[in-house]
Amino acid sequence: MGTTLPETRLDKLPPRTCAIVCRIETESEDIQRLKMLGICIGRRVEVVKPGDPLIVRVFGTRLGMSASLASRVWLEVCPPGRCAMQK
Amino acid sequence: MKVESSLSPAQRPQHVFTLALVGNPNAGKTTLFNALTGLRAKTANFPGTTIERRVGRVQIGQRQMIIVDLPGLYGLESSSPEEKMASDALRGRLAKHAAPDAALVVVDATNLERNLFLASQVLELDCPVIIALNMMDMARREGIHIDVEKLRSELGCAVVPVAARTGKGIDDLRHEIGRLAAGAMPEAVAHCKPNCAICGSCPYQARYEWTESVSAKVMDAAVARRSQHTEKLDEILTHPIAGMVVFAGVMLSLFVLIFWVAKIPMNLIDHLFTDIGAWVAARVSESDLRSLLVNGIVGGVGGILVFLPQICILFFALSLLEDTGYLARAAFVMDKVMRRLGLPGKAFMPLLSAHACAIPAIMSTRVIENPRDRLVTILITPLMACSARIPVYAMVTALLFPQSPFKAALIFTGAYATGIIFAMIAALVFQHTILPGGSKPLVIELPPYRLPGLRTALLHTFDRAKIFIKQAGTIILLISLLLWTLSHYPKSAPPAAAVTLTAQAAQVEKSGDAKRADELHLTAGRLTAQSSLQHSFAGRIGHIIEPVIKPLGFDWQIGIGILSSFAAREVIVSTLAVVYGVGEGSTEQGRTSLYSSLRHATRTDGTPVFTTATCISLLVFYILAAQCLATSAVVRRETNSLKWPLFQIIYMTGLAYVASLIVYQILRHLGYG
Repeated sequence: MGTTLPETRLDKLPPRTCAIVCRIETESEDIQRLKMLGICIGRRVEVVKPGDPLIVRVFGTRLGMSASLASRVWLEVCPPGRCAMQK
Repeated sequence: MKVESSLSPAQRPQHVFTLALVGNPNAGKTTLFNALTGLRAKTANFPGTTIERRVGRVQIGQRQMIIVDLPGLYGLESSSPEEKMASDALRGRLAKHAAPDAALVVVDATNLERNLFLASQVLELDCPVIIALNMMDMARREGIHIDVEKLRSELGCAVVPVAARTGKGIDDLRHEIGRLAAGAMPEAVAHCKPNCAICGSCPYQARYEWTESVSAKVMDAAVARRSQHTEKLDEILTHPIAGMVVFAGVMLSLFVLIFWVAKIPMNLIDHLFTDIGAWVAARVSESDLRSLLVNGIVGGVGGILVFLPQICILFFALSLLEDTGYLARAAFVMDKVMRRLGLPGKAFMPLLSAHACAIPAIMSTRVIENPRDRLVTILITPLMACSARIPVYAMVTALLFPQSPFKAALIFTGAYATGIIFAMIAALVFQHTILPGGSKPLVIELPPYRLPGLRTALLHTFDRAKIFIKQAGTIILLISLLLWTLSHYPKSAPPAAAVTLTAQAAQVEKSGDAKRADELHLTAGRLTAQSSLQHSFAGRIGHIIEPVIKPLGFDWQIGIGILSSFAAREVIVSTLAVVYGVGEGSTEQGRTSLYSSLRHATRTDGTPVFTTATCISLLVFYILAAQCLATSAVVRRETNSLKWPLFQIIYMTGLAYVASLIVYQILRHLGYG
C-alpha cells in the first residue's frame, strides 16, 4: 500500500485500501451502469473482498463486480490516514 | 405555473389522481406499495413490453387515486430496459401514458446517500414530489440517526418517515398524499432543485457531491458499523468454496420443495378433480356431454390448477431469497460458472427449477435483468427434464430393462444428463448465432441482509398464481378442449368384436356369472375405446404423420401418443394403453401389466413395436422435443411475442427429430431394431 501514489486498477487494489476513481476505460453502456452505481470519477472506492468477482464498497453500498470490469477502472490510492471513508 | 399543474387534478374531480412510486431497487418500494394498496393491486405489463408495473386503486381521504409501482432504478439515465421504462413513465415519455400527477420517492434510510441520488433527479423534474423515508426502524437499529426536520428543510419538500414492513408511519404518509392530491401542498413543487445536470463537466460527479453534502448535514457521522453482520455473513456466503456449498444447499432445499413437497398438494388437487369428475359422471348420463364435462372441462381445469403448488412454492421461496438479499449473492457466486455459457449467475435458478416444471421456471426468469440473457434462459429451460417426463422415462426403462433396476437407473441418469448437455450446447449456439453478446460483465448491488417480509412474499406469490391462471390457464384449457375434440370426433360405431362381446356378456350375466360378465364388458369397452380413438381425428392425424415419424421407428399409434402429449407429456402413457388396446391402469399392478402388454404389442406384420431402437428413439424424442403447449403459452406471455415460442417449438422439435433419427438408424443397423 504504497506511499507514492501510482495509479492502480480496481482489480489490483489491495483490500481495505481507499482509492479515488480517476479513469474508466470501457464501453459507454458499462460506464453508464458503473456511474449509476457510484463508480464515477472522483468517487472513493474500497475493495472489501478481492477475487473474481470481487466486492467493492462505494457510496455506502457493496457492489459485486466481475474482475474484468474492475480492471477497466483506474484509481489513485489515497495516502493512509488521509481518507475520511475509513473507519 | 408549476403550482397550477399540481392543483389542476383537484379542480377536475373526474380526473383520477395518479401517484407513481419510484425508488432504488432494495429500497422497500414494493413493501410500501403493498402497505398502501394491499390486495387491491393488479400487475400489468407496460403496453407492448414484458416489463411489469403494479397498479393499485386506493381511497385516500375523499379521493380515489391510482398508485403505480414502477420498476426499481438507480437513476433516471439508466440503460437497462426496465429502468429506462420506469424513467420514461415518470417523465411522461411513454405513448398513451400521461405523466403521473405526482411522484412518491421511496428512500432507504439505511442508505440515504445513495438513495438521494435518484431523489435529486426526481426533484429536478416538473413533477410534484413527496419523499417516503423508508426503513426507519432498521436505520435506528443500525445506529443511524437522520434528522428528518433538517432533511425536510434541505430538500424543501415533504419527507415522511415510515417503516413499510411494520406499517409505522403509513397513516402519516396517507395523510400527506391526501394533502398533495387535494392541491394543498405547495412544497411538493416549490422544493429545492439540485440542478446538478448543468453544473460542472460531469453531472454525476456534481450530483454525488450534492447527495454527499446533504446526507452529511442530516446524518450522524458514526455510520461505519452499519453493515457488520452483512460483512460477516458475506465472508461465508460469497466465499469461492463455502459460498458454493451454501448455494448448493439452498438450491437443494428449493429443489426438494418444488419436486417433492409440492407433490403433496399436487396429488390432492389431482384427487379432488378426479372426485369432481366422478361426481359429475354419476349425475350425467353417458353421452358426449358427460365426456366433455369430465375429460375436457374438469380434467382441463384440474390440469391447470395442478401447476399451482409448484408455482406458489417457487415464487414464495424466490421472494424470500430476494428479500433477504441472498439472491444477489447467489448471482454473485454462480456468475463465473454460468458465464461460460454466456449466461448470468441468476440463470441457474430457473434452470434448476425447470427440473420440476418449466412453467414456474420460465416465469421466474424475471430475476434476470438483461433481456437477452433472459430470452436465452427461457429458450433452453424446457430442455431440462421436467417431472412430466418421468412417467415417460419410467415407461421406456420398464420396456427396455424390466429386470434390471441398475440399467434403468442408468437410462434415467442419461436422460437427465442429455437434457442438461443439450441445453448448454443450445445456449452456446444461440450466443454465437441469433442472440450474440453473452452476458454483460457482472455489476450487482449486494444489499444488506434483512429479515424477509412474509406479507410481501405472500402477495407476490398470489400475484404470480393469478397471472398464471389468467394468462396461461385459459390457453391450457383451450388446448385441453381441442385435444378432447380431436380424440372424440368423428364418432364411430363400436367394432364388431366389441358388439359380440357385449352380447356375450349379457348372456353370461343372465346365467349368473357376474365376474365373467364384467371381464367381457371390460374387454368390449377396451376394444371400443381403441377403435373410437383410431377413427377419431387424432387417429387420422396419427396416420397422416406416420410417414414423417416412421424413420424414427414410430408407428401411427405412437403418433397419436405424441399428439396427445401436447396437453402434457405423461399423457402418452395412457394414450398408448388405449391405442394398443391394453386398457388403462393407474395402480402399480395396472402399470406393470400395461408395460408388459406394451412390450407384446405388435405391428400389423407381427413384429414387436417396442424394440430397443424404438424405445431409445422415443426416449431421445421426449428428452428434446417441445411438446408442452402450456409452456409455450407461458413463453408467449413472458416474451410478449409469438415468434419466440414458435421458434422454441421448431428448434426443440427439430433437434429431437434429428437426434431420434440418428439414434434409431444407428441402433437398427447394429441389429437392435
